[in-house]
Amino acid sequence: MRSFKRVILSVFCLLFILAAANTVLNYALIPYSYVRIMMHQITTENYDTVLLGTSHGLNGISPKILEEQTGEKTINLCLGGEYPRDAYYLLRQVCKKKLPKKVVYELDPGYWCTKEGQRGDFNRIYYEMPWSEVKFEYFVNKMLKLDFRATLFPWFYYRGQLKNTAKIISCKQSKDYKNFGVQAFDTGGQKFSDGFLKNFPVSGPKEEKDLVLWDKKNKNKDSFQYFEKLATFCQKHHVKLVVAVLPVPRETLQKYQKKYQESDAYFRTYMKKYGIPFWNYNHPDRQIEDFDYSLDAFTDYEGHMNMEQAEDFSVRLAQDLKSL
Amino acid sequence: MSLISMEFLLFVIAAAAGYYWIPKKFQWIWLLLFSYVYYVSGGIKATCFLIFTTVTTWYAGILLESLTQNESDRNKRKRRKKGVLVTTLLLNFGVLGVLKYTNFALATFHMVLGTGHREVSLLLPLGISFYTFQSMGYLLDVYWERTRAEHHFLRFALFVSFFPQILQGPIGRFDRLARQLYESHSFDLKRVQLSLLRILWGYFKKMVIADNAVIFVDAIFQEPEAYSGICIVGVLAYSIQLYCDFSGGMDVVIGIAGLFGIELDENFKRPYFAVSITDFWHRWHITLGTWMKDYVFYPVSLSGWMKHFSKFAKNIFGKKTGRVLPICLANIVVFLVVGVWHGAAWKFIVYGLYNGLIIAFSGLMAPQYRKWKEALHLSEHSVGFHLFQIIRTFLLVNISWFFDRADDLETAFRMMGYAVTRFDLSQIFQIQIGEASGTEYTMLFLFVILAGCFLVFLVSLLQEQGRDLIGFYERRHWLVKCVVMAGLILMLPLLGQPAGEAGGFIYAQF
Repeated sequence: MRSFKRVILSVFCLLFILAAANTVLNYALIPYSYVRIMMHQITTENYDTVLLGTSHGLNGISPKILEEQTGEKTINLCLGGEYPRDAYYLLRQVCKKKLPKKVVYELDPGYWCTKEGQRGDFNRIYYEMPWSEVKFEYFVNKMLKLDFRATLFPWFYYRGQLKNTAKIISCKQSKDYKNFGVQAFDTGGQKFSDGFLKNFPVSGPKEEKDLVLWDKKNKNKDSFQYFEKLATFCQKHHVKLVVAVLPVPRETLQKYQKKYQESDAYFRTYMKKYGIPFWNYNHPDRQIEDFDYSLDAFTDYEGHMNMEQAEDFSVRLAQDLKSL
Repeated sequence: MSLISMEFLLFVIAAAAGYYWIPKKFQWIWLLLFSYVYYVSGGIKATCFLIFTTVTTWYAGILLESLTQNESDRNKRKRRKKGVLVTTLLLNFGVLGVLKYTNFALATFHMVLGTGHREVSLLLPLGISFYTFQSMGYLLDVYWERTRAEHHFLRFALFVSFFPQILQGPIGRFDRLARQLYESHSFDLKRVQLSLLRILWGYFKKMVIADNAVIFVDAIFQEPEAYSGICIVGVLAYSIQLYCDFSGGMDVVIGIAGLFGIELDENFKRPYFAVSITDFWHRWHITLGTWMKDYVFYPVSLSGWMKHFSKFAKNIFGKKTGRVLPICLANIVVFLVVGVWHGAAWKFIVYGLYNGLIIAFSGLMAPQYRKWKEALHLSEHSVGFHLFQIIRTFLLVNISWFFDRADDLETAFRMMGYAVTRFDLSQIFQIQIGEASGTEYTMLFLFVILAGCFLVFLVSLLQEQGRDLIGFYERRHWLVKCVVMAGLILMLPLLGQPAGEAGGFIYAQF
């Protein structure tokens, strides 16, 4: 009996040490993220149009302009590292509050032919998502397969922030943080405002290293499976789904013309099969007139737009959405 | 299901909790159920191969036993038993061979002909090398009447598929493993605590040491030209990675089996303390080594043609050498098989032959070595000579790692050349590591690897000296134990690399 008590005490003590260390490290190492704002917005407000997708969508679509042009309340839930699986559960979370009328899925072919990564921002959705059956389902279908440290120690991917601990703590104690403000995201090169991540123009040579081109041989089956789930969900709940490929620099299109053509042909056919409108803003039939497709209007070869460019593009996207 | 995934963690917790909750007579069925759930989660097609091996081996075992008992004509019995054995061996090793070596055979064939070819897409079921070897070991034991055949199909299925070990071993022996699997086990708190500690120690070796070392290994071996000044660091880092990855995996596997009261065979015994290559193979991947010894070395050495060769060698080279030569030849054959087992590439064949030739050469030179030692007044038991032997063996082992890790033979030889002709330690600080993929953390992670290695070295040294570390741990106050556990757990996320960047366990790909 004495031994049993000691075991209970040991287990309790071990769990206490781990929980205390986790709480302190989560607070000190995990920086404030706009995902927290997004989660707060979708759990407190109703939206008519929901934007899902990747970093291109996050940098390239202004929900404020879409709202002004269409008169429909819009939220941009695009994120770097957001695969169709994440997009599906984000939409489910939005729908817990109210069903939107439209969903725009911003498609980056690279996310359909690569494995889902395991960086910190990729797990941010799970970390910030409020407790619900959607979060549980998301856990079962995504987090379970990942390294157990990603779930048990959310600070795991932020160990590199050790030197920024003071800054992170002071940010989390600020009023801005408590009020879901955006001041913390004004980093000089970028700022999060009007509901999307605004890129300031970049001078000098631009990077190409993160560009992932469509490769049919390496199809990520999960991406297709979860997109189909998303499409079925929209259809079932009478939510209009549109898929958009955002503009990329002319230089990239010329350099990798064949790959972009293959991608367009593949996804055009694929979306047609499901009756989903497919708007490729790099294809001649939808290229935007008087729109600057030169590399100057983007921050990299991948196609992350500068903020003014993003606002111009949002006007055009709004027009297309109105005509839907 | 990866050994470091959240689902595996929950899977093990569920399996262990249920194991002690259900009536004891059903415990083995519970293990079988979980073993198959584990394997099926990796794919239905792969499971078909596992079932094939289970069915053919189980049936062949029964057939062999019934022939032993019922066939009165000795010659007929021998012939029929051999027929059953050879057929089953051919079927199972055939499947393994086709799945694992077809592309290698095709590539070699086309290389000889100078024609181009396309790779054939073949499924390689997880752990096929391990469970095939384990099953065939059982079959040979039944054939040689060392063990009785298992008549209960489901019990035999558990022996082949026991989930902690199916992916990367250790290769179990029927006489030691099966009995433990089938008997009931009561919850033993002390055993569970020690098993958990062993699991944590394994994860520490894998995540904190091996997964950090692999960043340096991959950088250097993928771009040997760019890092030609630190090829020697690359191979040393690989020796650390491979040991911590494989032995860490074994610690996890043995610890998990321990949660169910099952004691698996040890696969490592501080291999870098080995004093010769022979000694190294008695300490490294022990279960593969003993499998090879029992099922390849002895049958080859005792075969009829080897006896003829022995006679021939004695006539030509004299009695002493003539006696050693067949053993040398059998060793070369064994290590050739070890090399082929490691993978379908010429570099693995050379890796195996390299080990086999060193062991054969040592065997032939043993009398000469003794003479030299006497002439130089070297004592076998002196610390200095012992250290010399350890360092010599470590160097020889590291040369073999070039073959094991390099992309191909040509790169391996080129890197060996760089290791002795070029040296520029500053190149190590150009290797990017850490979240931001910069070099700002390179120094820190180098320190982590070295500190981790020091800890492993210290533990190994104390174990080598026969110190009772487990007893020492058990005698500590419960609060100290708690802090040790918590410290080990927290080090995994604090100092380990993310799995995405480091990949899974190396030996889980066999």
